[in-house]
Amino acid sequence: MSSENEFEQRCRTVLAAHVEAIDGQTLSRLQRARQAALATAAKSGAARSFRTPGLWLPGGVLAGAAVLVLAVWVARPVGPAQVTIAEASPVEDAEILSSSDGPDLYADDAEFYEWAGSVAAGGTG
Amino acid sequence: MACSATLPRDDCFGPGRLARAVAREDRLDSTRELEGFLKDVERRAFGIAQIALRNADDALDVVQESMIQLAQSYASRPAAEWKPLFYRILQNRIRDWQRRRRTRSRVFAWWTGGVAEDDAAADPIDTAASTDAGPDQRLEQSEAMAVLEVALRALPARQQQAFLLRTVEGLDVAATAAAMGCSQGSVKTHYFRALQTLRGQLGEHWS
Repeated sequence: MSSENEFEQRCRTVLAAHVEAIDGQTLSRLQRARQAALATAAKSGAARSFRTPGLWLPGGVLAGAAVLVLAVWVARPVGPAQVTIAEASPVEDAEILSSSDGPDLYADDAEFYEWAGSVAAGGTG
Repeated sequence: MACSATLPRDDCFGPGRLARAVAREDRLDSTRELEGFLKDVERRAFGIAQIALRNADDALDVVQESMIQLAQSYASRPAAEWKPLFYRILQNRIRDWQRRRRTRSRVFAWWTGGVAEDDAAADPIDTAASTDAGPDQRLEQSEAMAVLEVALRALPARQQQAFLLRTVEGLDVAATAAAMGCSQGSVKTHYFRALQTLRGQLGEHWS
């Protein structure tokens, strides 16, 4: 058993000495290989950082908030012009548009129809 | 936080920039750690690959490819996992090179009508450097390595892998099993058989 261990130990020693005796040119090429690998790691690390929520999350939250503010601003109720439109009865508009007379007829005699309307409402001739 | 001239620049630009700075620092630490790891294993990895491939240039290529793949795919994994991962990659690369070389050799043999290189290989022990320097004379280290190298190359691939990973790299049984992609029982068996074979072949040279 001990001779087996001795043999194993001898193998280790011989192999370790062999590894330590690697020539300078090979060591230099190994160093270049290492640097190439580290450059690759740096590139893939930069790509990974983009996928890290800690980095793009604050920016995303800010962008989302900006979009929300913009949407609220665009959709806010605006003043008198819209109120005027709202005051005009949509039913009247529909009647005019669906009438066989056409909208030009009403435009030509607008004063007459205004007077006729007020008479009809007041019940006077 | 108010931004003043005394504060580090990153403190002045909110959490996004601070997070980027922290991530950059982490990346630098990780790169330094990876560099230390690669520097530590590169000689032994080259030694293993050279014995397996019998060619220094091929061994260098295989080690470089393994380093790059580790850095590209596994750099973000915990450092404790790097060694078995790296040697798993290395063993796969060595196997791929050996397959390609065998295929080339067979194609070449078929084309020239000769015998494939591997088939024509002479008995490795016969080709080893002579160790008959005299019964009282101890073997030189280089001679011992030459004999061991030849005997190692004659081992079946899995036995060779188990022996080199355990003896050269000093991996334990579990890490060797992870690197070889087999069970711990298989590692023990391969290692034991390799040891027996080597002892049988080298015993007379090393006695």
